This record gives sequence, structure tokens and C-alpha cells, in this order.
Amino acid sequence: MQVDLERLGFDEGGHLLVKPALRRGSVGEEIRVTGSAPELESHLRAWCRSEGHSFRWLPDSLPDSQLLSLAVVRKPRGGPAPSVLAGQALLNLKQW
Amino acid sequence: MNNNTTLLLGAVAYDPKVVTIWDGFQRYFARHGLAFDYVLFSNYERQVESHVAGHIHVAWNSPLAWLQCERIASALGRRAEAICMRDTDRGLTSVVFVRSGAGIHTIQDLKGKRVAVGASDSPQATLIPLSFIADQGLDPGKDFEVLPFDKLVGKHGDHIGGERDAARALLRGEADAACCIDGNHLLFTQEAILPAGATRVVAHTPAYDHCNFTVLDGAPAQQVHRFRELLLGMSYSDPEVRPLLDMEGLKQWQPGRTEGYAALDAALCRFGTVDEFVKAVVARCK
Repeated sequence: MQVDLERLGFDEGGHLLVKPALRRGSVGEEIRVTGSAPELESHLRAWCRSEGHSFRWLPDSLPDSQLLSLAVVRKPRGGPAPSVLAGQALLNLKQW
Repeated sequence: MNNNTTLLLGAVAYDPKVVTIWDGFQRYFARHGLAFDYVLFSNYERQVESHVAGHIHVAWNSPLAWLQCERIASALGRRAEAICMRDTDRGLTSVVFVRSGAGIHTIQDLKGKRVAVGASDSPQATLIPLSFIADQGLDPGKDFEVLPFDKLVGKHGDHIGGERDAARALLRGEADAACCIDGNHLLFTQEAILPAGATRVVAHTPAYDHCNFTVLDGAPAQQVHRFRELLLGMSYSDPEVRPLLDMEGLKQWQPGRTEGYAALDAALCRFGTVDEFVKAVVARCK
């Protein structure tokens, strides 16, 4: 599943598109989030932390790129950590 | 201390909701057989000194209070331990942001400019970002002007009013840049303090950690163990504890860790922020 936010930032409601995609995804499924809003990186980081999702960036997905690409993985509560995709950041989303 | 000791926690009253939070936790612990009570302090310095003096067993500490406590304990030959923290205390970053179109693209562009920060004792809105900028070669107060918003000093920036004021000053044109936690930059856009697209983040600090429950050697081991066990066992899917976790701003408690305080420790070494306080408390304890 993929969510392309294009230039829509989290400060403009981008999370409203990510949330339903996460709800629709099945456990373990990766959801790819792409976007080019200027503050997507810092806002997504903060949003994931406040929502209780683990989050980490891999070195070659870091800043200065116009297009941010993330893989979002739904994880069963208490389940094993997901594997990390090279060159992408992973959001490890918990189900409450 | 015997097995009937009531575990006494210290917390700082940075907001009226603190009473609701700890009353709720007290009821939760009581239901699970742990005698627990709490004391509220108006500032972290008083809490740290009371902790060292043995008036409380556990302290809900800001990162700055943790380092104060650790330094005092170390000077006294004692041991401080961070036993638990929120999931949201891990991996924070602070951001340095400017008005869009201001022609400031990097930290280097801040030379000769004015940077708005939060309270002087705020790790997230003042100490860590200023130290981060200094790491990039710009000396605060020398290479650029610092505009502080000293709201509720003693609460270590828990009250985010200073960060809000810094953001407002940036928009009013009274400052060329401002600093806050990444999450507050998003919050301020949601509160319409920062209109969407009106500001640009020019830099993030490396990730760091925030609050923790601190214990000192000599704390009642059995009660501390049970306290930590009950915290780690709390589930966000439990309707009884969910409102408490929401108010405290977490989804799950995590074991404590201290490697995330290195950036703040470096800032304290650079600015000497807590030297006088630590020295004074150590002298009073000897």
C-alpha cells in the first residue's frame, strides 16, 4: 500500500491520509509514504513519537532529498521488531 | 525501611493536571497492592535536593534534573539510576526554524542574527539547541544574539510557554530564528501560532532523551521494583489507565536509559548551567 502526500505537509493535515492507510493495512504489511513537504521529516518524526510508533531513519534516506520515502510497517503489539529496508526509514506502527 | 514503607514519589507541578495524573496513578498502584504517595514541588531544584536528602524515594525528573541528581550523587559517592521513562521520552529532536523566505538556509547564516529560545533552564528549547549551534562554530551571545523567553524558570521547560513565545517573536520579526522541540513545531502549526508554510526548519539537533524516574541508592528496593514492574505492565488498551497515559503523554512505559542525555551533558559542560547548584547542594550534604 502506498500513500503519496505529494506536497501536503503534516501541518496541513497530512496525517489524515496516513492514519486510514494504516488502519486498512494488515499486520506486517508495509505502507510506503512519500512526500516532498518541507517539514515532513521533523513532523513525521514527532507525530510517530506522539502516536507511540517507533521510528528510525536509515542513513541514505536522510535529509536534503526533495522526495522523502518511508516504509511503514504495522506490527502486532508485543511482536518482533520488523526488518529494516535499506535506504528507507521504517515506521513501526503499533496497534492499540 | 521495611516492606510496609509507602513509596514516596516527587514530581514538579508544572500544570494543574499533575494532581489528576498522580492521584490516578496512586489509585492504580493501590489496586495492585503498592502503597504509594506523592509530593509536588514547585521547581526541580527543590525536588533534586529533597531527593538527595532522602525526603522522597523516586523522582519524576526532567533530563536536566536527572543530570543534576547524577552529578550530586557522584560527588557524594552515591549512585543514581534511571529506572523507567515514557516511550515519548526517547529520541526527541529540537529544531531551529526561521521565517520562510528570510534568506536563512543554514546554521552558518545565523551569524549576526537574533535567535529566540525558551526558558534558560529548558533542555529542549535552549540548552541543547544553543549547544548544537555552538558545535557548528557559532558562539551564543558572541556570534549571534540570544533572545530568551524565561517563562517559569525552575520547571526546566516543562511549561512550553517559553517555546510558544519564542515562536511568536519569530513571526513578529523580533527574532531571525527560534528553537523548540520538533513536536512543538508541529503543535504550534496546529494551534495556528505558526501558519502552515510560514516557517522553515533549517536544522535538527541529534536525537536525545527526556524525562525519567530516578532512584538513588538506599531507596526501598522491593517497592521500587514493584513500582517499575507495574509501570511497565500498564497497557494503553486498558481503559482504566489509558486516560492517565494520555494526560502524561505516552502510550507505553519503557525501561530507563541514560545514553540519550549526552547532548545535554555536553551543553551543561559548555555553559556551566548547573555547576553552582550542584556545588551548593553537595556542600550542604557533606
